[in-house]
Amino acid sequence: MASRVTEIASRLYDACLERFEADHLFYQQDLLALDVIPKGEIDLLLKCAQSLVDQKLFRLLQGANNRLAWKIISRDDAEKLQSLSPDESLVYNVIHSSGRSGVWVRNIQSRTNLHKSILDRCVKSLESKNYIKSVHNVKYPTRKMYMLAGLAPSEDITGGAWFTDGVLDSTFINALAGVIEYKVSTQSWYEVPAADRGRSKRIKTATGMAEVKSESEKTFLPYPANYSGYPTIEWITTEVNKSGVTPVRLGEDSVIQLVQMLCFDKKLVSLNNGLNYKAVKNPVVVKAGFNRKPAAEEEAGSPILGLGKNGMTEAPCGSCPNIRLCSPGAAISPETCEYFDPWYEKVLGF
Amino acid sequence: MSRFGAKKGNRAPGAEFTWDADPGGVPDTAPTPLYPAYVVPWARKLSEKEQSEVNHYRHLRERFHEGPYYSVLDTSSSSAKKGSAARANFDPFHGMPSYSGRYQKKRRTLPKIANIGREYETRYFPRELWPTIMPNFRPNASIDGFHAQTALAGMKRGFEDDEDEEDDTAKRRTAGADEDEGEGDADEGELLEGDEEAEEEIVDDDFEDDEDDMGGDYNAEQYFDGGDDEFGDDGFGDGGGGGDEDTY
Amino acid sequence: MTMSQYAAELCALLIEDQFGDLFARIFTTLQRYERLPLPRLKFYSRLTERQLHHGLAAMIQHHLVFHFTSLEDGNTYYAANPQAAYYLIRSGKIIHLVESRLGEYAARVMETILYLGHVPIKHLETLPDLRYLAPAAPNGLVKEEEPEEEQEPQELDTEAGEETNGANGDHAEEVLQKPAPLHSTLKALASHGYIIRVKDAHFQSPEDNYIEAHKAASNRSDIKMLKGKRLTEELLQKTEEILRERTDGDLSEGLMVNGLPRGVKRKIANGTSESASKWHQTDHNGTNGNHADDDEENDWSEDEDGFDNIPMEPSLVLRVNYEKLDVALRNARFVEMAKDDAAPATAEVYETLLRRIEYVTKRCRDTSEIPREGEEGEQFSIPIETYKIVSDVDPHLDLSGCMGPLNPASASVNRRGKRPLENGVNGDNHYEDEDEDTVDDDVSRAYEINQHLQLLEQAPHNLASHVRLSDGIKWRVGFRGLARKLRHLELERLVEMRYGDVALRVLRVLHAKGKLDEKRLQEISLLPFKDLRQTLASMQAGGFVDLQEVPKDAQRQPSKTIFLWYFDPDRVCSSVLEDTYKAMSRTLQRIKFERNLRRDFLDKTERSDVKGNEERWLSEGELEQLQRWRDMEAILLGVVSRLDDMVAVFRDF
Repeated sequence: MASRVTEIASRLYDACLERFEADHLFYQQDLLALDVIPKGEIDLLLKCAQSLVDQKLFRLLQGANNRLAWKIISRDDAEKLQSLSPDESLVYNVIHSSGRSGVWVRNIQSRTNLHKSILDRCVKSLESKNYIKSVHNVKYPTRKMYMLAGLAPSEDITGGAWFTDGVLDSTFINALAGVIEYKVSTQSWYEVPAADRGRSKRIKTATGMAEVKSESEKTFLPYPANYSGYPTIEWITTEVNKSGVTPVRLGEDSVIQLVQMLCFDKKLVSLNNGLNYKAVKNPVVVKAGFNRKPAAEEEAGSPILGLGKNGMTEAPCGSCPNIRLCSPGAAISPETCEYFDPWYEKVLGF
Repeated sequence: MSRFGAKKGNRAPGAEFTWDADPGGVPDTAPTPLYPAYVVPWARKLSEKEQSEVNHYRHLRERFHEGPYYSVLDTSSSSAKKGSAARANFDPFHGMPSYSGRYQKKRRTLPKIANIGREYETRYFPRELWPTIMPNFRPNASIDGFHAQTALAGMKRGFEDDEDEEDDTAKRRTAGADEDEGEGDADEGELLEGDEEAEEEIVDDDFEDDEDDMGGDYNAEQYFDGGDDEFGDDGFGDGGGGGDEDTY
Repeated sequence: MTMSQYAAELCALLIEDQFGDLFARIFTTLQRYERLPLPRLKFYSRLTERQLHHGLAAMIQHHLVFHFTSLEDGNTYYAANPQAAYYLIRSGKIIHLVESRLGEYAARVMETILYLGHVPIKHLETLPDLRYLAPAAPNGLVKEEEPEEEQEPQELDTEAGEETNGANGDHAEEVLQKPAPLHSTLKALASHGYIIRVKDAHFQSPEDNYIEAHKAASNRSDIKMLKGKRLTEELLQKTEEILRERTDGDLSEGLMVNGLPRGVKRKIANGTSESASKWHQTDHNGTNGNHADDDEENDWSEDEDGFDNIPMEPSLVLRVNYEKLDVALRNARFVEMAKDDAAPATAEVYETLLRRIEYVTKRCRDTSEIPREGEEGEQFSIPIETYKIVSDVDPHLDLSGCMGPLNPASASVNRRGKRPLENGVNGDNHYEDEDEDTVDDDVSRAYEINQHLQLLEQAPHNLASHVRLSDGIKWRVGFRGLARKLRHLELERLVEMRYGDVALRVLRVLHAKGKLDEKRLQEISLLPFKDLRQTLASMQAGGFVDLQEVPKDAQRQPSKTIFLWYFDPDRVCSSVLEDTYKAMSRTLQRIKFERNLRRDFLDKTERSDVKGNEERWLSEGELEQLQRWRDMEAILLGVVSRLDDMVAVFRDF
């Protein structure tokens, strides 16, 4: 009898594996419909199902209308599960059920009713077996959360494409932003063909561009106002995904986020109510901008790639740390100021 | 930092007391430097346009300096009255008259108003300044049918006795703040002393004129002498006198 | 609104620098006590009667002091005029502007008017310094004591061209012989609005003028009949009207020819563009009195035929019109913005448009107080027809070849080795190639000019906007929007330099979105929390952003409080303005200190025997020292002048 059950159960499992997808939820009638159980014996079916559940090949679930339902578990996973202690198995199931959202340790505890020390041990053991992993939730950075090791965390908890381990990945963002700006720029400016260049006048279209241009010998012209070839979000998304900078495919939403950020940087501007985007600087200037220094460290003579300077950014008093205290005749005064001499040195060379 | 830190830190009772809240850290007992490290900004070289603007500015400024109006309050010179504050401030290295001194730029202590080849548009000036801008002004003559209401009392309070004037000022000064009294005296001393400069003498000439023809436009002063309650009240309550710096 | 402490300090410093400390003492006293009759002024300033009489007279001559004689008590009250005091710093810019627009002689006339405060034309006629086209003395200083024999200055010698080349010195005498076109120059200055007629009201403070105008308005019979709300409205309107009538010294109206002021340099077909910047670059070495300029002047004074023979009324009293000059200076900043990211030809077209607009704009804005950003509406300039720009723009300015084709793909195939623009626009525009007649030429030029301006209308420039009327396209600019753009540019430059690019992004996000908590701010700015917090904290310390706490419950616990970051441009602008005043003051004080350090040496260079003969009397070392001092003072003054540019942006534009 037992061996018969085992045998039929095994056939049932194989049939399920064949017929149903891994994540399919099936009910009693689904199993009967497989024609594995002789004469559709309910009793036998239940025994087989229980056997499979015991072997961790089936997972027993509550389906719609409180009916019993099952899902299959792959043999590999079943092996894993079989090696677990009952407590561990309990914990594993809770974590498994949370899917890609992950579950907070405290919620595992409340659902399993395990003592904290036991729970800790289980989690540690599962983690060491590499069955589960801890994940970082952007929304609740302090919570300890877990999910199955094989799953990729959902955008809800990672914060979208821009987070790596719950931390905003600025290197990635900047690299991608650079790619976008450059790609858009190539479409926003007309590069005068090399043959025409000799005759065309030296045209300086942006501050500091003259110097940059002389090195590269490229001339760029703006397009007329009714030019319609400025990139769209769709185009940018395709280009970004083609570029190979991003390991995962980026959706348009993520690209929009990035493009808007670039608009706040005044690197791109939106035209036609956000239908098209135009790069403010031409490709050569964009490239030069990649390794520009912060404005505060810019040295005399270097081309101005930022917003430029004004009186307050140039006068020694403009950003002086002492300006609030400075007053003629006081301890800190224009007469005793020590900052002017280095300033003369820097500006005048003596 | 250290003091607050010591209070807050939950040190075990009986632990050795130390001011250093952050052992191993840089002790902040050193006085804050007056001029903390500050990377001074660099500035663009002046463009041609800016250089030209600066040159124009300096040129006009120089014209003002050379012009008849530029005047200073104090030129410490050895000619100051003995014992006066100016004398005490006398600079033995620069104050001594010297041969090359005759080329030295002279500093006026009073704007030269008359006889500088300018005619003043009298109507734009208040009446009480007419004697200043017009050395030949006769205050008693009626102008525009308007008879100087001022030519009545206080005729004597002209320029003829600046000494009195000065005393007066001094008296009033003691009533108010008096820390700068010495300086003020020096200024006036300077003035009274007069300069040996020819141009000064010309001014003095005008001044003589003033003296003769001075209208009694000082009754206004008398009017106020008794009226300290007028202080700061301009009678208009507009509250915004001179506060138009935002106008344009 | 009372003067802020730092503005007051700065004004006093400027006066001291130009006129000495007697004026400064009077001015400071008046600033402190606002409004004083002579005896009070004497009491507070501790000056003698004589010092005050002479000082006040001279200061009134220079408009540095307002006076007001009350009809009630007969007393004369004096008040400081901080506007005139502040504008002393702008004199260099003003003279340069006039020089670049109207030439060296006009600049000299302007400088003389500035030097005299206000002046009747008949006095200008007597000045030897203005009699000839070349400056009279090498150092340009005037000796005005001796009015020499009378000569008719308005009689124009219009021969030009003999002395165009050669060094200054060689032809000095010849040039000196040439009488200068004083009257036509004055007309040019007046029609540009740079100088105005002096009015009685100019000597009274704006407050006094307002009160008087108000009184006059309420005494009108038609006003007296009104009641309630109508009365208030009408009274206000009438007051403004009277005020404007009393203060407006505009002389330009009768002097404009076809909407253009006199003396505008025609674009002569010799290939060189005479736009201010360009021809200025061509003569590097000549800072004063070069002949090219003289040439220009004669050109324009000549072609206003007949008109110039009528001299201006000799008794007319003139002064400088700072309001109008601010309009010109503001336009120059707009052009600068265009130059920053548009092609030079585009910027020049824009400059041409703005020049037309300048002629019909009297002042930067109507309100004297600085408008609040949220509350200010747009104020558009008068729209200008494209054909006027066509006629004004340098005919030799190459308008084509500055833009890419509309359709790049076809351009590369169908390249004619000609201007790329043509290929692209052929479709929607009907001009063919070069073999069109002049009418077509004008049409195509108008088309091209519209193209340039359309580009400027588009983001990121947004510098102009068009109005489409039945008779074609007109172009105008939105003054308030552009002034705001300038303001934010200056702020952002400061933020970029002090706090870096990241801060710039955060600031713009806050400006665009209003109040935000950190989480939302991060989502938009895509910055790591650590950087974001650091940036916000340092910007808060610097006063650029503020934090608002919104408690969720009555306990106001931090854990139950929402923290919202925000950026208030009005507050930040006014505090930066104060900082700017202060930086200007400190820099000027440093100049004074540096001068005092070198006092002995500088006194020597100013000695009457040395001055003008430096080469002869000073050693090589001393000459170098002098040059160094001049360079140092120049860069310090230059920085002050750049700070003044910011003051203009935050306060005047």
